[in-house]
Amino acid sequence: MSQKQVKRIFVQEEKCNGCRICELRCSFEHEGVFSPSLSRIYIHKVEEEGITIPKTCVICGKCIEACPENAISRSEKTGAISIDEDKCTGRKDCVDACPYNVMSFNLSLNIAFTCDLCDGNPQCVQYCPEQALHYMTAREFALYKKSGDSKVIKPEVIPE
Amino acid sequence: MNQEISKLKGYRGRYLVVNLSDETVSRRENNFSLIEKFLGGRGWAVHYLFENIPQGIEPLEEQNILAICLGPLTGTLAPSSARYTIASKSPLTGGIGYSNAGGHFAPELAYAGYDAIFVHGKAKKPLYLFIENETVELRSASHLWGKDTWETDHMLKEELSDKFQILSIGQGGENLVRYASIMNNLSRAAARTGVGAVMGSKKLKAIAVRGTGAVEVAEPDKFMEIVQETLEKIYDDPAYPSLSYYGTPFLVDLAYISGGLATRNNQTGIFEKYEEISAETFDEKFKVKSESCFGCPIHCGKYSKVESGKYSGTKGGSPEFETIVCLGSKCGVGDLAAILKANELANKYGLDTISLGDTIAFAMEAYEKGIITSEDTGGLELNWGNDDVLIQLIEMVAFRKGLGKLLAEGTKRMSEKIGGGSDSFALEIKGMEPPAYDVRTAKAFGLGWATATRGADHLAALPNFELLGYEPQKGLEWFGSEKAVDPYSWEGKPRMVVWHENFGAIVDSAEMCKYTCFSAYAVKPENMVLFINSATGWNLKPDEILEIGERIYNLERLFNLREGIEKKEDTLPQRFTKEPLPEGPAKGQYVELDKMLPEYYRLRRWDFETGIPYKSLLSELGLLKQAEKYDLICKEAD
Repeated sequence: MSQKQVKRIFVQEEKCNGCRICELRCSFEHEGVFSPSLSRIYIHKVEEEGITIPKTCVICGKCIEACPENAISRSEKTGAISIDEDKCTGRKDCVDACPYNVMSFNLSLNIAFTCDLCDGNPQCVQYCPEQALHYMTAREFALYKKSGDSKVIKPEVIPE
Repeated sequence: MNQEISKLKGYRGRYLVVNLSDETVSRRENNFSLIEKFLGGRGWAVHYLFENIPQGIEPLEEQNILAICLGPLTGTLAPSSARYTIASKSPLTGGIGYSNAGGHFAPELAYAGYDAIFVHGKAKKPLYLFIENETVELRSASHLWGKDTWETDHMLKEELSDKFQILSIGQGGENLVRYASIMNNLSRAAARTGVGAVMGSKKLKAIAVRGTGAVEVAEPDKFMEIVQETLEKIYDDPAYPSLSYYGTPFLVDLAYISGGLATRNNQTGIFEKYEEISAETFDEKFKVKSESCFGCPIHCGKYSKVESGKYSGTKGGSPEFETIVCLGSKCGVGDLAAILKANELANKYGLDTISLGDTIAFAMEAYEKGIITSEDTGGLELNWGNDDVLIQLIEMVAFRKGLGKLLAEGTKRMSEKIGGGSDSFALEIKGMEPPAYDVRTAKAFGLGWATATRGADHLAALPNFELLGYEPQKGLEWFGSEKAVDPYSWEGKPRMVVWHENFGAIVDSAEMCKYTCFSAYAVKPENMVLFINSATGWNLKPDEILEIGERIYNLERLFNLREGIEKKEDTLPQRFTKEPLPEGPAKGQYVELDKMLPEYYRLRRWDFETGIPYKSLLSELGLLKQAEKYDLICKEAD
């Protein structure tokens, strides 16, 4: 599929409140346990400034170039980064090469891991209480941002 | 012991015992037969204190203990389950003290692999506790002593890594202010009952924790089902949009509408500057975005900033409803920017905004009545609404300077010192100052304040049921009276309070947020058992967890009784029982406490004369041994 058609996870950081439900859901989806260290997405926080930014793979492909074992490729189905665990030797070149700090490393298994877009149904997007995460093509996201749907709706202070 | 109980999931299975006097740390295995009776969190903490603190000690002595406990759901996706309890003998009340906070600290401790930390003794010089998975050690905190909680957070993250979660005290705790808080994530406070002063007395400046492990649940699919179901209930709740968008400041509006927006030390429930401190003003002028606790779909916390005026540059976690009222309208202050500044200072110094604001409001009324004069205040004019004085006083409290020395002792002790009849408007119960909502407009809350084990406390019961505008039929179904849904009515309220206190003890012991359980009522006992059972592999029934809650509540009661807190202290300041609200929609309302208390005692099976739980009840709850040790035996009259 062409790069234009590839969907990835886009973030609206102004909506993110730093609850980290995405981290919990991700680790549960992939590992069956709750552990932010095993999550493919994380929230970068600077509490004093109120900054909370979700960080996950943007599928730039720098890790593919960096891997000396040719263990990393793009998924044919989703375009997501795919790591061949049998080929990965744990050299971490991909971790160093990742410009967004979202290539993680499982110390106990000695292999790298990153977002696989849950095979086309990213659970972090499903579970985000604020709709701060979007699984869209770049064009779809641009249109969404322009539309009224992307705004936070202000409710009545005291509901009827 | 049930075989299965010895390997419960959800829990990490071990805890830390720290002795500051000889600088040792030890790891212990959980005693699951104990967990079976007290669940975790608040229940475990209270049990540990009851068994290990000698009777009659001074709260700021070496022998006091600081207990930090997590629950069986900590670190999981159970909604808003990232809370923890910190407990000790309270420097304010002399009875059971505990406080509960959210943020991101508790799950990090769970991922490091510990269910609890019990801190004994007193350090010779300032220390902090370092925890990184298996590495646990006491380290020097001399460089941190004297710093506020934000500086401490910043310095420790620089020193260690920004992946650590930090819990610390500020100058308030160091200087033993009796209502000092313990802070994490800059604005999340374990604020009530003075746990920060106990931490300060032990010279323990902070706890820094990093955990990279995982929390497993016993039945993952079932667990996720109940998570999903609960999330939907929360999102569908009529109060959800407002609570999630405005945060607790929306309660300012609710209190105003009901005529119970506590103003000038509760002299009235109508504040003429209401609009200036309303949720709308907060949203329009100061709110930047939501700031959530870990794993919480409600995210009532807000991040705010002041961009102009004399308080420009103020920032941080937003003031809660309690803070806006106690540091605002109770002191007559209607400048929300000033309240935000006061909140920021209280968080940095580590002070409970409720007790702090109340004590200042008390001093202002004493000043108004001429019981203290500018001679006592060092020239400060403690007039209602004087925000400059409010800000100055906060620093004076944290450093115990001038009048701050007296204010740092809290309302009760200050009133005893200044005399002059000030006890008639000294708002405190068992030594702790009351929360924001004027209970003359919410009678179940009034009863809850009077009976709460930690003093004037809205959270022991948190009977929101009476405020939510339910149909009368629901009041009849839940609490035996159609009038239970009317906040001005006292009928049905004793039953409501007992139920909420018992289930509330469970919520605090599972370490879930009371907003999930008592605002949307999205998690009731029958849902809570599904969470606990699917997380742990246990097979609890709803009535069994209510019994655990009742056990915890009665053990707290026994702790207070053995420390000399008598039945007569289950009361309200006369302002709420004898002085009806003078104006507004609740004009004429007061709390009919004498109508509610006898029924409350009857439902509790406590003796009305002595306040001691009946022997038959304690026997059923398995607390007879604890009661006998302190001669707290009372037979039920025939």
